[in-house]
Amino acid sequence: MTIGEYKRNKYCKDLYQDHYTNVFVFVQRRIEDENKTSAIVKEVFIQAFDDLLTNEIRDVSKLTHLYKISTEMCDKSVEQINTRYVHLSDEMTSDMLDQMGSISNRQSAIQKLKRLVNALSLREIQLLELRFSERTTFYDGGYILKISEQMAKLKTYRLLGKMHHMINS
Amino acid sequence: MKKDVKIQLLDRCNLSSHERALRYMDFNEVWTEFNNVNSQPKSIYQGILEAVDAQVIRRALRTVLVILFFGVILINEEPKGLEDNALGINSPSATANHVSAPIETEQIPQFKNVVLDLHE
Repeated sequence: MTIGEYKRNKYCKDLYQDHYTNVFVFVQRRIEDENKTSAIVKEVFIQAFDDLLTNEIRDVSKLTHLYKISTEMCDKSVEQINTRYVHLSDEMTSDMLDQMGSISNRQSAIQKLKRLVNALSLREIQLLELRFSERTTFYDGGYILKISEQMAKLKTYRLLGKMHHMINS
Repeated sequence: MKKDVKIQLLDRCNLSSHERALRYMDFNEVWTEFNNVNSQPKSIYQGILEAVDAQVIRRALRTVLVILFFGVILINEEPKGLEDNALGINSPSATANHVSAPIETEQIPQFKNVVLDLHE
């Protein structure tokens, strides 16, 4: 193995070991099946090695770039299996309701929120997941979904406002 | 994205723990596959794209377009000095006619007289 090959190998190994579990959990939230998740994560890292060895990612962290590739791969997989899983944890719903502002009956609001999320488009769900589940910044969320930071912010708050209005009505 | 994708909400997270996720972790397998993918023969088009940075191609194309744009404007512009010559006196065709046309002394009486005077 030459010095160049050794460096490439070490760089990729470090990247893989540092971020594997995060990427695995990220994909599994959307795909559910462990074996499919494992196959997708493998593809994600092959793509990431290619990207990161040829281009330097400057604007975002490596993990954000990995999330971006994972999102693309998950979207492709979802098209094939026709089912997209959305993990709505208690923490996530609670954070969303906190962001919405004044809610009179919290228990009833949680039930309404779940029904509303079920009726959202996949793009809207992705915005909410990145913000309240992965807790990415709007900048990173925009990078992952290939939109601007302002657009990510605008769409998320508009969506929360709309949901708040529907929950209170 | 297809519109008929079914969204399935899950209240309880059946997510693998980090320890379980680690069972699937195998760097050597991914690295081998990565090298296999990279060692496959590529088309000439792919080779050119990889060899030359896409940004360089974009810059070169932009420069060519700018040169073409200004080039077309300059070619369409009429040369100065000939444009306001309504009588066509300075036009190349008019000058050529003047040079090639034979001077006939019969048509110019005063010249005829001068010639006669010289003979005398």
